[in-house]
Amino acid sequence: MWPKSIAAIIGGCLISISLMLNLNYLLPLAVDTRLFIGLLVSFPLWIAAMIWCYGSKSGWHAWQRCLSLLLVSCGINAFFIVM
Amino acid sequence: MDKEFLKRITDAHSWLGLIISGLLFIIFFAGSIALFRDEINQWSFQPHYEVAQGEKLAISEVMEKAISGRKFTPKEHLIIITPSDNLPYYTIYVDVEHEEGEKDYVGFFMDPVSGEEVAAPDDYFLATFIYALHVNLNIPNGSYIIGFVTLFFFFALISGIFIHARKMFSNFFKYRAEKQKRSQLLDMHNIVGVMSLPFTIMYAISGLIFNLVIIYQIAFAVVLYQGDQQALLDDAGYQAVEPQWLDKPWKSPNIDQIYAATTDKYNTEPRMIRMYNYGDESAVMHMFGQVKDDFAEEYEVAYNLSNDSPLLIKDSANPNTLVQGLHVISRLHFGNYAGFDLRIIYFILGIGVCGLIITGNMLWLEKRARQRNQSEKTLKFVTNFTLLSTGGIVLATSMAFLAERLLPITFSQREDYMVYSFVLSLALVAFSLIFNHNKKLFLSLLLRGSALILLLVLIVDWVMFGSKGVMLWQQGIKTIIGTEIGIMVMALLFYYCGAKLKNKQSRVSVNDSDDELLAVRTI
Repeated sequence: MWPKSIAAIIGGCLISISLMLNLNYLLPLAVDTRLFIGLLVSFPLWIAAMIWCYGSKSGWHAWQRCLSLLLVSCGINAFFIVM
Repeated sequence: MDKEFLKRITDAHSWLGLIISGLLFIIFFAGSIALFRDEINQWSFQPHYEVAQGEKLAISEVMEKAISGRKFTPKEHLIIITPSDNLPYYTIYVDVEHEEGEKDYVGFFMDPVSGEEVAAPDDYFLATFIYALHVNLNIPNGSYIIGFVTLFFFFALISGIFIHARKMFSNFFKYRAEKQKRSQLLDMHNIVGVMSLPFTIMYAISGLIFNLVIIYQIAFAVVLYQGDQQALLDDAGYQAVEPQWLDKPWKSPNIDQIYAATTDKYNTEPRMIRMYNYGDESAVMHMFGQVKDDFAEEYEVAYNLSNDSPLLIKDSANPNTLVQGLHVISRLHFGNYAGFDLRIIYFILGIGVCGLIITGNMLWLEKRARQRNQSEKTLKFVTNFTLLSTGGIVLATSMAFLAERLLPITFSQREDYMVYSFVLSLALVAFSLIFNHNKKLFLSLLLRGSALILLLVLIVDWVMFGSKGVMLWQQGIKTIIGTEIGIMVMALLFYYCGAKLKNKQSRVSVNDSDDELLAVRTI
C-alpha cells in the first residue's frame, strides 16, 4: 500500500497542479474568479488522481498512470507558457 | 464497476481510514466543541468579573488608555477587538519594547466603560486550547498535519461513495439491529456516512483550503507569476498596509469620526481595528467587520489619518471573488451564518462523524480478529490506539473543563496548568491501557468517568458561582447557565453510552457462561 500511497500523494498533487494551471489559462474569466475556481477544483482533482492510483494493480502501475497523464498535461502547460 | 477496482479501493479505504482515525477523531471532537468556543470562553471568565454598565468610551479614548503606562512601540501595531455578545470587553493587543526571547506584545481585556484592565485573555485558555487542537493540534506546523489528515479523510469519503454506491439509496434505512455485531457496525457506519455526506464533503474541502492552500499558492506564484508572490497576493485581494514612519507628531486625527462613519456605512461596528504608526503623521487606521444581516459579506477599510483619505476599501462595491468566496467557505465551515440552533445541528453531525470513525475502526478490528494469520500484537495496538484517541480524548477534555473551573485566577501560568491537566489525563489513560483486557468495558469506564467529571464541573460551578450565574442571567447574559446545560447534556450522553456498553458486555458474558454450561451438560 505504501508505494501506491506515494504515487497517490506526490503524483496526485502534481497532476492537480498541472490541470489547474491549464484551467487557469483556458477559462475566459477575471483573474480573481479563476483563482477561486482553481482553489475549489484543485483538491477534488487531487482526490480523483488518488482514487485512480489506489485503484491500480501496484505502485508501479499507479506511477505509470500518473506519469502518462502528467506528460500530456505538462505538455499543454508548456504550450501555454511558451505562447 | 470492476470488482478488482472496488476491492483495491476498499482496502485503501480501510487502511488509510485506520491510520488517520485517531487524529481525525480529535479534529472532529475538538471542532464540534469549538463551535461554541465563544460561549465556553465566556463561561470561563465571566463569573469572575462584573459586567460594566453605562456609556462606552470613545474609541480614541480606548486607544489612549490602552497604551498608557506601557512601553508601546508605535512603529508596530495597536490592535483592538470590539466587544461582542459573548465578550463584553475590548480585547487589546499592544506591541511593546522587548528583549530577545520575550513576548513582543501585551494582551488584555479592557472594561468599555471605565477603561480599566480586566484580565489577560491567555488566562482563560480552555476555549482557545480546544480550538487550537482542532486547527493545529497545539503543535508547531500542526496545520499541515491536519491538512494531510483532511486529504485522506476526503479520499475516505469519496472511496466510501464508490464502495457503497450501488446500495446508497436502497440501504438508506437499513439497520440490522438483531443481526450479527458486524452487520450492526457496518449499517451504523454506512447510515452515518451517507446522512452526513454533504456536511463532511464541505468540511473536507474547506479544511483542505485552510490548511494546504500553500501548495497551490507556491505553484501559482512560480509558474503564473514568475516568482512574484506580491502580484499573486494583489490578485488574490490581499493588500499589505505598510505606511512609512515620518517622525512628525499627528495633529488631532479624526479617529472617532472615521470610526462612526464606517459604522454608519456598513450598519455594524468594526470587529477589529489595527493602528499603524500611532501618534505619527503617517498613521493609518485599518478596520475589518461584517456587513450586518448579510450571509458572508465582510468589509475591510483603511484610512490615512493625516487627511482622512481612504487607503484601501474592500466591500461589495469593490468585490474580489476569491476574498468573497473564502468568506463564504469560512462561514460554512464555522456554521456562524445563522442562529445558535444551526450550530447545534453542526455539533450533532460532528459527533456523528466521531461515531463514524469509531465504528470504522471496530469494523477493521472485527474483520481482522476473524483472520487466523492476524498478529495479536497488531490487534492489541489498534484496540488500544482507538481507545486512547477516542475515550482518552473525551476524558482528557472533561478534565480540562474541571481544571479551568478549579484553578484560581491568581495562579500565574494558569493556562499551562490547564493544558497539563489535559496531557496528564491522556498519559494516565495510556498507562492504564496496559491493564486493559476488555475494550468495551474500558471504553465504558472512560465514558462514565468523563460523565462523572463533567457532573463534578457542574457541582463546582454551582458552589462557586451559583448566585453569580443567576444574576448574570437576569442581566441578559445567558451563556453561563446555557453552557452548564450543555455540559449536563454531554455528561448524560456519555453516561448513557457508557452504561449501554457495560450492559451489552454483561449480556455477552452471561451468554458465554450459558454456552459453557450447556457444553458441560452435553458432555
